[in-house]
Amino acid sequence: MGLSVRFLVRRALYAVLTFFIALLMIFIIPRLIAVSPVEIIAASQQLPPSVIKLLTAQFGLDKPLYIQFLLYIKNVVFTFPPNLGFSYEYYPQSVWSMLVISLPWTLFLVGSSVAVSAFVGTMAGLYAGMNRGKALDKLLTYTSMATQSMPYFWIAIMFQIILAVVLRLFPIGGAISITDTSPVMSLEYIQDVLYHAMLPMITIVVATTPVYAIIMRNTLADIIREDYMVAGEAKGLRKSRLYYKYGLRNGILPIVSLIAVHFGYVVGGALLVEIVFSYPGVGTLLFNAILSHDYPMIQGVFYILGITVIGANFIADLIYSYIDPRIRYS
Amino acid sequence: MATTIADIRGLSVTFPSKKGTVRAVDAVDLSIEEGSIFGIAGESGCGKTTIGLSLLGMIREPGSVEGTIAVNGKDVTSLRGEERRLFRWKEVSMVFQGAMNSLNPVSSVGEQITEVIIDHTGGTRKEAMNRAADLLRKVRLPSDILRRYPHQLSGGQKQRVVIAMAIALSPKLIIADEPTTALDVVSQEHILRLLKEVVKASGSTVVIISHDLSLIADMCDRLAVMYLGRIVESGRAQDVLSSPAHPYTRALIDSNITLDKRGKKVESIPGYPPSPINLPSNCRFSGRCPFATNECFDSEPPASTLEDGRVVYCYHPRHGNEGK
Amino acid sequence: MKIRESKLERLFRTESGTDTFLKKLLMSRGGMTGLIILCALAVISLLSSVIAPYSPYAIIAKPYLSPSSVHLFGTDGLGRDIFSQMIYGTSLSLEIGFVSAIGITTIGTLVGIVSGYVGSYVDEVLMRFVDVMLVIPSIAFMIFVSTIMGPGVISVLTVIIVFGWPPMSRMVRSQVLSLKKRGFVESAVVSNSTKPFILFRMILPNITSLILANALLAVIYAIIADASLAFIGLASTTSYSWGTVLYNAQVEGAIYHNGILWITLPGLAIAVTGIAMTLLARAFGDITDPRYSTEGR
Repeated sequence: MGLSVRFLVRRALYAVLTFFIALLMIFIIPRLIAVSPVEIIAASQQLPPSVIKLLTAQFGLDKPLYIQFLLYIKNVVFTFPPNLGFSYEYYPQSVWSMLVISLPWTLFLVGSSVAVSAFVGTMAGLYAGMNRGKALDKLLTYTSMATQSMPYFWIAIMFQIILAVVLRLFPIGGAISITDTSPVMSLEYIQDVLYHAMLPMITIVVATTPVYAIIMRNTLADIIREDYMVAGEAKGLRKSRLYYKYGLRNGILPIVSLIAVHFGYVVGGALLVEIVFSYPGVGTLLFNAILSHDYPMIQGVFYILGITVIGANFIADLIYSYIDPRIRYS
Repeated sequence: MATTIADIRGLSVTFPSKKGTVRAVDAVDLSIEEGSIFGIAGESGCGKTTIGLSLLGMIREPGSVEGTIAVNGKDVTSLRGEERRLFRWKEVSMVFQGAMNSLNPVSSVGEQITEVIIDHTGGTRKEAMNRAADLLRKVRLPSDILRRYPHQLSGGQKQRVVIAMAIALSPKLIIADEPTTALDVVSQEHILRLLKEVVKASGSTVVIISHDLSLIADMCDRLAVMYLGRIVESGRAQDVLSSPAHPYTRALIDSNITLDKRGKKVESIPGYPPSPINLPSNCRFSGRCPFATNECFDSEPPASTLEDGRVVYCYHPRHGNEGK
Repeated sequence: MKIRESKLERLFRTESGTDTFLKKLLMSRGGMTGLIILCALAVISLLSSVIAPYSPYAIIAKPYLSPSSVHLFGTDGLGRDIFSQMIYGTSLSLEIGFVSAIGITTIGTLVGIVSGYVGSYVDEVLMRFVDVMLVIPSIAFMIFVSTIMGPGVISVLTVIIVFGWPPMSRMVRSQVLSLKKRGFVESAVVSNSTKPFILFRMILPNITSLILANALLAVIYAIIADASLAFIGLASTTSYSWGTVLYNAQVEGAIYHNGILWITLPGLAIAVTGIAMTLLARAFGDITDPRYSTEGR
């Protein structure tokens, strides 16, 4: 177990490092491109003097850059709740208070979609990879070519037109019915939430399942040539055992790390899908913030996205180290 | 006369490739007696592993098999589905070349031995575990190896595990493909001694596939020498090795001696074998053979049987060490 | 690994170079299809001013007209011809796609080669940075940067390139690493060939087709990224790409104004371009590495 801990510590340090680089980017990019954040804001908006004052104080613009960065770190990392400033659009609401409302919706949407598509994709990729050149394999190759060539949000629009506007199977947008007055977490409420989440989920699942499937298939293309695979077949093992204990167990390792890497891509796409369906997650929050030049909010959204994606990657590392005996016992 | 456990008639195995059809094995006849140790010798790529795999019915698409292979009275080429699955390992098992890679890296040794037993004979996990511990004892490994994963074992330990696995179902025939490559000299010794001992105890027939003639001389009763998918000479091991009749066999022996005496291969056999695609219809060794005459370049030599029962495919079979 | 290397070697060393490559490309069904689509798109964008009946900006009819023989795809919310917008959009989308792909390929290849060839701490630092870039949701950060830079073609190109090169550098690096261990490169190192010679005459030629395949995929990545930025109002407002047309269709409520074609076509155009690029890239990839191929063997 010794090395396993070392592996995890290394990955944790790595996650922290990534997080700080992301923070640095969030902090430095506006300052690199424009003269100062306040200027960008002031140029784009009529601001009440109180807000300008507040901003100048918040950014500490009279201090050297590294001090500003340290202040920023202090505010967003070592303060709880993180001090991400105030939204202009919804002043005096703090950015954090808005994020706390939106983030669960996004996590729910992305989490459940990724769970479904990772499962379906891995299975489809497993069967396609074990039966190369057969019907499922071909279907998969072409589907993935098509879905990966389409903008995520356009797929959302198409589903919206077909399933919501024309067939009226699902609501056009939103997360809950305006008329829904049932108490939170009651059965009716949950049904309503699922009903509204269906279209965005379907979109994300359709767009990402082939990605996972193709990764699994190509991983198997290598695995199937491995000696242990040939040996497994020669041993006359049951098909299910060959598929799951040999193909899946070996192929799942690269899949887990790739799912983690792809998580950012999925989240990025989900933001746009949220916009199409007016889903009240961080994507829609971001969209509105962009429209109203609400810079602290925009920064806040990226802050929270950074944490989410890096956190998801770290969790993937944990899973990886658990399922790979080469790391678990060394 | 002893009974024949495996009988191969007119076996050809071909694989399509972009540049033409590769004939990995070409019109091979072999019969292996029950309880014997049979050797197949030849350079890498001569088709010896392919023969091993075809005995298990393991020629994968797009490869195709012609001819008949009978093992224990069963026609291997016609086996399909569940019947074939149960035939594999129960009747013929294999010690794969490079034991290192033939173990599933994400399963423990115990899991890998028990899964074979359970998938073939049913029974509970506990029974299978007991049997697995038993098998490990036979190959002289402590039973705590059962809980280990392949990456935690040494090369020699893995090789023992693989042998334990091969005898797990007491098959009639065990194929050992280069059983000692990638092992150090000491482990090689141990593994060979173990293999011999285990085989004697189980009464299985063994086919040893190797490029190493001294290994085959050590272990085998009979042997076949292969070159480019064909058998060039076959017979009793001591006859063939003490007085090779085919020039290729002699070249192979010479190259082995060089290897032994100086510790490294100085020169083996001059020239390269021709590509196994679109093979010529003459003697395949003619291009590299010091004794080749016109007829060797023109047509394929037929089989001739020598007085000691050996079969040689050569126009100029030579006896003893004459001409040396 | 072995298979890829030997194929590469056969492709570039024993058979002489590009003409066999082109022949192989044309002989594969997918590659041919991709090439034809790409050529058609190129013709449309080169002749856009001839093909398009109207200026994409000119208000020439009533708003929200349904498709007709005069206005093939109808008119938008201001009464502008959508067909003309799509034609001009082809040109800008392809430009953005190819310019970005060139940028991505150049940076990605350079970083990959330096990282793989120099190795040691240079490699360590560069690849750590690439790891970070890969983890960060690139679309989101593109949005972030564009909001600060403001909308426009330059800002779109910049963010696409800045966030697009890391995967490419990863791929190039791993190829360089595996080539470095190959006999012919090692012997060149031993025989004191100059570094530029080894890099540009020995390593680069051997990874050209893989780089090209990935460059083609970068084109569609860039077109989609542009459309995504356009979709939230961050692309150019003064010129038309397919993304802009889609954005307009969305904000002007095409769904409710018989604008099914209007909102469907830009996405379809992107999808068709993407499929063409993928087919071409795959044909390139199959020629060098047939392992993942579905067509034959």
